[in-house]
Order: sequence, then structure tokens, then C-alpha cells
Amino acid sequence: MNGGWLVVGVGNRDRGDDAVGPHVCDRLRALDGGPEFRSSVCEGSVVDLLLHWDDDDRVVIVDAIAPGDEPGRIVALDITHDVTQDATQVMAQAPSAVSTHEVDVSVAIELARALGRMPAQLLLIGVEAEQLAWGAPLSARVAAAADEVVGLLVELIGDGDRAHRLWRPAPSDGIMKAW
Amino acid sequence: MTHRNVDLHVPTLTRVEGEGAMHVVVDAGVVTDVRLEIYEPPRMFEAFLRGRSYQEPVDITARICGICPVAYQMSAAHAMEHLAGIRMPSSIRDLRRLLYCGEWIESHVLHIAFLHAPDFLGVDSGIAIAQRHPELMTEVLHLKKTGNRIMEVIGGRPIHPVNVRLGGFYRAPGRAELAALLPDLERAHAAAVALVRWAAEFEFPGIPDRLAERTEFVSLRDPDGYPLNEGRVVSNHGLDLEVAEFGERVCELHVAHSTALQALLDGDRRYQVGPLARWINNYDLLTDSVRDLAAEVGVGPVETNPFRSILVRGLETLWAVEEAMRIVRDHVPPTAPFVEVPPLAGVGHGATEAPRGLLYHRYELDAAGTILDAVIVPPTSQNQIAIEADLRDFVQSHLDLDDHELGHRCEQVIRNYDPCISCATHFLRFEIDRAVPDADGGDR
Repeated sequence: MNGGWLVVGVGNRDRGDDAVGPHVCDRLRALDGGPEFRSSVCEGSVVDLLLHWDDDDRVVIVDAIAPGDEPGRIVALDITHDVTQDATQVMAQAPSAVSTHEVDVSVAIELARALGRMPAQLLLIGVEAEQLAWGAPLSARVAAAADEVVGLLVELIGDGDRAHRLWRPAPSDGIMKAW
Repeated sequence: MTHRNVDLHVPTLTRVEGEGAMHVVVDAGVVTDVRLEIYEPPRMFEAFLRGRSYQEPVDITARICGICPVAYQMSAAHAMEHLAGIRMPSSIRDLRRLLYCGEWIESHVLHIAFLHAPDFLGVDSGIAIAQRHPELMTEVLHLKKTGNRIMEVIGGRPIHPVNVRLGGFYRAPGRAELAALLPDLERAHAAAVALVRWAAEFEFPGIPDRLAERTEFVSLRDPDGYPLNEGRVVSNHGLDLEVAEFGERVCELHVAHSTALQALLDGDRRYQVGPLARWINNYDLLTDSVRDLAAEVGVGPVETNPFRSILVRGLETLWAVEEAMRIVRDHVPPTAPFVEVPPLAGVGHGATEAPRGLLYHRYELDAAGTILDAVIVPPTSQNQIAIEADLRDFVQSHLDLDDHELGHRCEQVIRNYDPCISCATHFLRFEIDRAVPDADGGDR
């Protein structure tokens, strides 16, 4: 399928709130009568993230952000044309970024850019984790945020106009928050 | 004698897994001390395993490493099955080999293209390589993804497989599922060949005096095929042991400057494991096509230059793709996905070939299958002494390099081993204390 929406959930299902990306994908897949989209869970290597999409896809990556002051905080960025310093910082906070074994999401996206393999649109949703404990379920606040992300994605995929209202190129003076 | 001191400091070694530091002391033109200082806290997996069921190490030890979980699963399973005296049927053994091929492909390709190749091209990352060689790197990514895909089909997911259990698998994939891998494998085959030919164009430094006769290369050897899961432990110095005997003769030492144990044979024999060792000890078991490509790129039956290990990894990647294709084409699904492995009191030994080299497990069980003791000897632990020796010899023979270049090359020496410090336990700052007489004999 080309030119459609693709939601990529990045994270480790066994690591507490790091599972929010795969969890959002699961929830979207389970919806009855929801919008048409593809989804892909990226539990392991993100270096080949670009192989998940086609050039004319509109892609949303959902990933966890390392715990901070506001668990459940949602950050949305349009990184289609550039990864601003702010966006890089956000992506570098993803738990996958501190993996000892693989590259982080921002490097994977820069690799896609270097290879000329960026999709038509690339959006990033980060959800601030509360805990990343092995074997733990999603925390209540992150689970609630996941619900919010699912609702947002349903609207986004079903109404392209809303996408343009929510996601614009991230301004250089700060992280653009969708809401 | 008067000296000058020069300190080189690399805050974090990039493109290796884990954290640590390195210190080199050069005194009057002579390297007097090299320390690979691994300071990451021990991870205590062996202690965690005590008191657990004999069925659990397959899952618990997989968590030691996100890159080579299959190696841990396989070594743990083989140790328990060794104790029970059970050999798996060929169909299960083939599925295990296929799973292991997936791990080798994804691990080797990550190291070659993203961690090691930048050293030879004078760039910082795989992104810079991608900008220069977009077509090659696109195919390389597909090659790596093919490895991940194999792990997903056989293991249930691309990392930390959940379908592996003692005695086999929870579910055996059907022929159609395996056959679906073939198109990707065929494309991956071309990518693996291209990757080797591309790497063959690099300029390879050397380490003078690093001769095969002075280095003991240890690996598995199995007459039935290039080693993954089975075989005896052999070396180019005549070692030829059952895995259990190897376990009795390998000893781990604690040194003050590393939280990772270092390994020796018989208390004083330094050795190394990994692709060069496998290659030297099993060259005759490779396919003709792999040997032909090796000859084309100048890799002979005995390759001892650690800088050229990138080529051997590439050739092993090609071999793994071909082995995966063979298994997929010939596979006959097992009648049952696993064989029951009963608990027995005693000691079981298992060794398999992780991408970085021999991975040994030993478990002592009681009659109920409770683990009384566990020993895990990962490849990076076994290679630490060899890495330090290489660093010593390299620095000694390249003192004409300025500190910046020397520091960079020393990192490359370490990356030659694709060290997994998170397995051994982790890595790296570089520091050199170069004490040499200055030109006018004074201190500075």
C-alpha cells in the first residue's frame, strides 16, 4: 500500500512505559470501524526503521520519552523536513536512545534522510514515561496518555486537515506541543 | 632519565557496546602498561540463576544481551540437554541453526556497516557512509532486516526471542512460513557479497609480530558444518576438547582494573575467540562460494590480522545467508516442536558460537532441577587479554603516530573485536601516559 498512513510503535513491551508505542499500535488495530492505516511495531533494532515505510507514506512514530517531571506528557513534532535541535533532544530522551546496543530514533531518521528514504510526512509522538521497570505494566498516567494518543491518531488519520492544524514544522525556538 | 608525559583522553569510546576506560603508559619509548578498565557494575546474572528452575536460564540469560540473546538461549539449552544426555532431532537442530543465522546476520551487519566501517573511512558514523554510498547502505539495511526477520519468524520476535524453550521451541514454524523468507534471503545474498567487496577496498593497518603461531585461536568445530551450536572446542595450537573439559580448563580471573572477569586456559594460556578463530579452525567447512569470494578479496585459510576481521565477519554473514537458505529449502518440520528434557542432578556444559565468539555456560542442578551454581563465560571476557595484548603491540609499533591518531587507532583495535561490554559487563575512555625523553633531554 502506498500513500497511506503508517503508525510505527517503537519500544520494548517488557519494559514498563517503554511499551507505550507498541501499546498504541495494539489499540489502534483493535478498533472496530476505525480509519484505514497500517501499523508496525519496532521492538528491536531501530536502525532499519526506514524499511518500515514507503516513500509516499505518511508516518507517525510513537515512542516513549525518558521519565522527567511530567509523566504522561505528550510531545508531537513534525520532523519531515528537518530534525531541529529540540526534536533531537526529545528523541534522544527515548529509552531506546540509551540502549547500549543500537542507535536511537534520531539517528535512524537521519539515516533515512541521508539515504533519501524519508516518507512524504514524518510525525513523532513522544510520551513521557513514569517508569521503565522490567516486566511492569504501563503506569496509569502513561496508559491515560496512550488513550489520548489513540484518539488523536484516529482523528488525524480520519481527517487530514486536523493533521495540518496539529503538526507543523517544529519552530526553532521550542518544542511544539500539540495540545 | 628524563621524560615527557602526554595524556590522551577519549571521554567515551563510541561504536562499542557499553562503557569503560583504557589507559596506556609509554615509558621511554616502551609500552609498560595497558589496561582495559571496565568499570561498569557487575550484573550478577550467575547469582540470579541460583535457586531458579533449570528451565529458566533460556529466558533469563537471553536478557544479558539485546544483540546476541540467541547465543545465550542456545548455550543455556545445550548445557541442560547435555546434562540430560539428550540430543535434539535434526529438524529442531536445523531450526536452531536458522535462528542463530538470523542473529549472526543482524549482529555482524550492524558491526560491519555502522560500528567498524567508519574507522576505515575516517567518518564518525554510518550516516556519513550512507551519504556516500546510499544504494549499498540501503541494501545493507535490508540485509540486516532479513536477519531480524528470521529471528521474528523462528523466535517469535526480533529481539529476546520468546519462542525458544528447553528442548526446542514452543511452536515450530511451518514450511510456508520458512519459504516466505526466501525472497528476502536471495536479495540479502547479493547484499552480503556487495558488502564484502566494498569492505575489501579498505586499507588495513597491521600489528607487526602478531603471528598465528603466537596467538591461540579457540572456537567450536563440528564436522557437520561451520559451527554454531555444536562441536568440540579446538584451537590452532592443537586444543581439542569436549565442551565439558573446556569448562574445567578455562579459568576466570579478577583484575583490579576491570569489573569483567578475564579468561585464561590452564591458568596461563592467553587465547582469543570470535570470527578469526572460527575461520581459521573451520575454513574447510565453508561453502565453495564463500571460499571463492574470500579468495577474490584476499582472505586466505589463515587470517590473523584483527583489522581484517571486518572481512571475515562479512564472509560469515554471506555464509549465514547461504546456510539459512539451505535450511529453509530443505527443512522438514519436526513431529513435535520440542523434546521433554527431564531434570537430573549433576553438571551440564554448553558452548555455542555467539557472533563475537565462543559462549560457555555451566550449570549444576539438584535432582529437582533447581540450579545450585551457574557459570557464564562470554566472548568479550575471553577476549579482554587479547585486546590488551593487541593494544600493547599496536602502540609499541606505532609510536610515530601523534596522540590523536594513536588514540583513534587504539579505539579501532578494540572495535576489531566487536566487544560487547554489556555482556562481559561494559566500556570506554582512552588515556595514554606517554613518558619519553624529549629532544633536548629535559622534562616537559
